[in-house]
Amino acid sequence: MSTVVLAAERVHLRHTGAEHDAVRDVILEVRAGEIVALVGPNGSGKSTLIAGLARELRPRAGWVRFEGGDAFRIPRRRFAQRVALLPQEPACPEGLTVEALVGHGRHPHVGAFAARTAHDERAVRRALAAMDLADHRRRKVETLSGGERRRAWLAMTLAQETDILLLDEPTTALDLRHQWEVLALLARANQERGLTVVVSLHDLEQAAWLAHRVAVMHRGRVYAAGEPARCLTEETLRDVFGVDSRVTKEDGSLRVRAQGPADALRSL
Amino acid sequence: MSAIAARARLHLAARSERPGLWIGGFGIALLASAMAAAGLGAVAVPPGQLGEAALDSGHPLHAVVWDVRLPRVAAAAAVGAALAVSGALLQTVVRNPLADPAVLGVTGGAGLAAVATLVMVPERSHWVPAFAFAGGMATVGILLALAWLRSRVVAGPLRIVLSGVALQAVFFAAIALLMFAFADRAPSFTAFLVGSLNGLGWSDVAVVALPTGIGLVASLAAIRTLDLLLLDDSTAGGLGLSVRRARFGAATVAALLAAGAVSVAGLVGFVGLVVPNAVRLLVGPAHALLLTLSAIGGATLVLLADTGARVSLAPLELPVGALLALIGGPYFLVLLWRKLG
Repeated sequence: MSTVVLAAERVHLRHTGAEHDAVRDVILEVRAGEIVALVGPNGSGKSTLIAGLARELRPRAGWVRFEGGDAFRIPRRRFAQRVALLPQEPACPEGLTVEALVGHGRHPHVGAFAARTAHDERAVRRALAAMDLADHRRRKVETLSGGERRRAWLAMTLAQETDILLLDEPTTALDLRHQWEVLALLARANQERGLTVVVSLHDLEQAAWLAHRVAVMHRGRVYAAGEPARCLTEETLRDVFGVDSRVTKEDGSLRVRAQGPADALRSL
Repeated sequence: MSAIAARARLHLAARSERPGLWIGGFGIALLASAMAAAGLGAVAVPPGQLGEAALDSGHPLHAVVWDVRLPRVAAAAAVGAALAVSGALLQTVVRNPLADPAVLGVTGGAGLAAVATLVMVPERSHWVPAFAFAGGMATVGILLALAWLRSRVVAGPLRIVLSGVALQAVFFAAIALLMFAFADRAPSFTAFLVGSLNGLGWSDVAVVALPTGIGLVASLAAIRTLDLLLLDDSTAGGLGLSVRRARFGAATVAALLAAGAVSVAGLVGFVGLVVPNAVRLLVGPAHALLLTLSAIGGATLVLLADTGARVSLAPLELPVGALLALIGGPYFLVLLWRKLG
């Protein structure tokens, strides 16, 4: 078994100004070369947990560990050379070109004064190509469609060339083809260079397809964690999402057929 | 209609990739307005004679050009560059195009400290720039504290601007009270409140040039950090930037720039609002070109306004700040309505 690179140890997280912890007493270990998918209903704490792992949010209790040490004690830039974060709804200044945005991904590697190297340019080009944006690189980000914009942000995190990616709903707003392209890209990078990924997803079948392990979140806690097939059971889905569903295995992949909200449908 | 707009935008985008052309064009405008400022007035000096009159102490117009006009030209340019870059920095810090050292109360805080120094410890008048900086910094501190008290991210689009407007009003009132109480020692009330470059000499130029120089170098050295500050806090933090520290640093430089300008010119407003917003429309939000062109454009605008203030109703001289407010006020309204619309 490979080593744990990133871990939440009994972490409690609360957003500034909020009155309750959005994440409570969560334990999650992410091993090098592993893909972990966070699933769960809206407001179950997926984004908050990702923010904590990305050291965006300091735990009120518990620890976020990076390679065994306290993640918050590592210089920001060094952390950013290893861990890239895609926030759920990032803001972008008007007038910024796609290329300039993706170029920001090189920041942790370049330093404040040094010039960009050929390697930096290559990383930006590769990221643009991977996200199918090479033709759009001169366009202003605000003129892109929602899906294209999402891909531009993904390209920025790819250009960061880290060995760990934390992605908060990367496939939201993408059309079906680009959803699967993102998933395939992550799977390929994981197989080829051992990329470690923590990703929150709404689509359970996609989560099962992509991830080695899923963590099902419910009201700020991890309700169940482990292999997708063992975790995503009809019982769990009823308890966590409140839906009746049918979970089967077809050609080796998990099929989840929701049959409507358990209580709402029954009352019809 | 929209096709024309789209083509115009394309055209602009293409041009923004030639920074040399922009800087050259702005530079020529600055040079022309500086020559106009040095040449026009009660005694007109033709452009061809300017150089000679400035350098040759035997020239009949030497005193006019060297002792009166040129220090004023240099001070106007420095004040304009400082205020414009200060505005650009503050707009990035609070992520809001309505920010400006005057709108946010930074010039008011600096001005209050400057006036307090002048009237209460007149023998320490050489400390005015330092105290002005402290006053500007204190204002920045209050604003950032207000923004952070409520939430981790920058406060909503208007809250911080309105806080600044309120602070500026308080500082105005305090300055007015001080000047009223110490009427015998106070500098010219209206000139200071509106902003004026009347009667500046080379020693005043030194006072504004030093903080302006330091501020310009510091902000140009930080262009990459400033570019990252335009993204949201999570993204910038994820890219390895210490967002609070960067924001505080940029605000410090903005306060330094504003304080230098206030120390010699009083409460000149709106330069920091008008210039960076116009430049951003032309070349986009990247700071390398934004700050460079804002500095040159700010210097040009204040030079033109000051020359206009001197010659339009000669021999009567208008306060330059009033002219700038006539341009800047409506501009602010337009921005505000667009922002809210």
